[in-house]
Amino acid sequence: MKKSFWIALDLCADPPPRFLIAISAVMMLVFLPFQMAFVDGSIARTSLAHVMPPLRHTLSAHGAWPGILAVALAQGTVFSRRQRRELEPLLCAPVSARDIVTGYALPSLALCLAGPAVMFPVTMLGYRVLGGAFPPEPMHELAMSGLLVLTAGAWVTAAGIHAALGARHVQSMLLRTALGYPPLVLIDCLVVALRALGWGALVVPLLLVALGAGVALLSCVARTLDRERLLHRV
Amino acid sequence: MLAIETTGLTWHPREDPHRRVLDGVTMQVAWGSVVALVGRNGSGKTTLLRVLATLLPPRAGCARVAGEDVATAPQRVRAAIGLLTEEAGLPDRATPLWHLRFHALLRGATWETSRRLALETLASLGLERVAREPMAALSRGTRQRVAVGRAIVCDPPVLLLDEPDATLDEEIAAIVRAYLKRRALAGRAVLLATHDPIWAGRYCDEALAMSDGRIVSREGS
Repeated sequence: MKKSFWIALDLCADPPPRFLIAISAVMMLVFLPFQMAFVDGSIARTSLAHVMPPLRHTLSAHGAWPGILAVALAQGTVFSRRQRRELEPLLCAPVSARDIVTGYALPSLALCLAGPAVMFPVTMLGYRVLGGAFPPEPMHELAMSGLLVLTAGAWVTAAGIHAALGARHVQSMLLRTALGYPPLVLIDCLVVALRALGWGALVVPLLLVALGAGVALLSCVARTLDRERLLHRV
Repeated sequence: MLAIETTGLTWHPREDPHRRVLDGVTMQVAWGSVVALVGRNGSGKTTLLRVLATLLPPRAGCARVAGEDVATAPQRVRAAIGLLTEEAGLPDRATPLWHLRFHALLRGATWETSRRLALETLASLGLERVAREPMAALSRGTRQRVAVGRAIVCDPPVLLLDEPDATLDEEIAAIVRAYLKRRALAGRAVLLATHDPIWAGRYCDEALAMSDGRIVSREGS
């Protein structure tokens, strides 16, 4: 685990382009929270509240933004390192495949968790400023969002790391990563549906199962990491 | 126990079993010696180093590094080697200090020790002034020096060098050669692939000539 942490730190030593950080900050801290607070808060005060599920239930889709961005950045870095033969020194260092995959997944997963933690207070502020209907249990919402985003992050990260390590071309890397999104959308829809139908108690077990599957997927990516294939698929 | 020992080592691409890049290589490198692999491009030198570094699995035969089998105990082999790759393989935005520190950390050094090791290694290669510069700002020769530093940062028992002479200027090449000699005297082993007859003849204890994936001649003690 320690070595994974060093690998994650090394990945972070390759800072992303500034414009991506700026776009991400604006999306997370201004656009998404206020848009959500305004739309959700306004709907909650109208008759539409009975037919439309609260927008905050899809917070994962919003909160996943930094996670998805982190996956994209990690992917870009890993893929370009592979192309420039910069992975060789890492591959012949005394680290296991699990260390490598965990190391590359850690920054994405950390950002998946940090996303809602940063966005949520701003969203709450947005509800207050825009006079929307305040979510009845904010801490519960925050915890649920964290779990939801982490689950989604595990799926997308697994697909992203697998694609970055295995694909020959950028196009096929992006296509393979896209395979991580349908399960994410499915989980999101299921959560929204369960809560809208009043079966909220089932959401946590569902998310825990999905999170377990995401972690299993990451472990599967580690098991299939092949140093020879990595060297030759350049 | 020998530092490196191969018996009938064979390697071919997965998709083309008939193209023997290594064809029954049998060789030994004793502790305390510097051995050169010489040969034309495509003779199998880099592939041999890659198999010994556990980057490629042997298809037949066996190879042991520091007493450990590359096929069955790759992790222990990796802990015993330092590899200088043909390409420097350095990330553009990282600094030499962090890069060496990172590799020291992967080899089990503590946070504080890794810093000391990295700074000492950079100083020994005359790189103190660029320690905190991004790698992208360094010249090709300087980057190659950093790559040498990465291979030697934790003083591994076995050093595998692929074309160490490729981009080094004479001054730093002399430092590296002196370092290799010191290592050999300290009982460590070095196997290097080179085109340069000066490296092979004057600074190595033995030179193994490779052609078409085979060792075709041996010179030296």
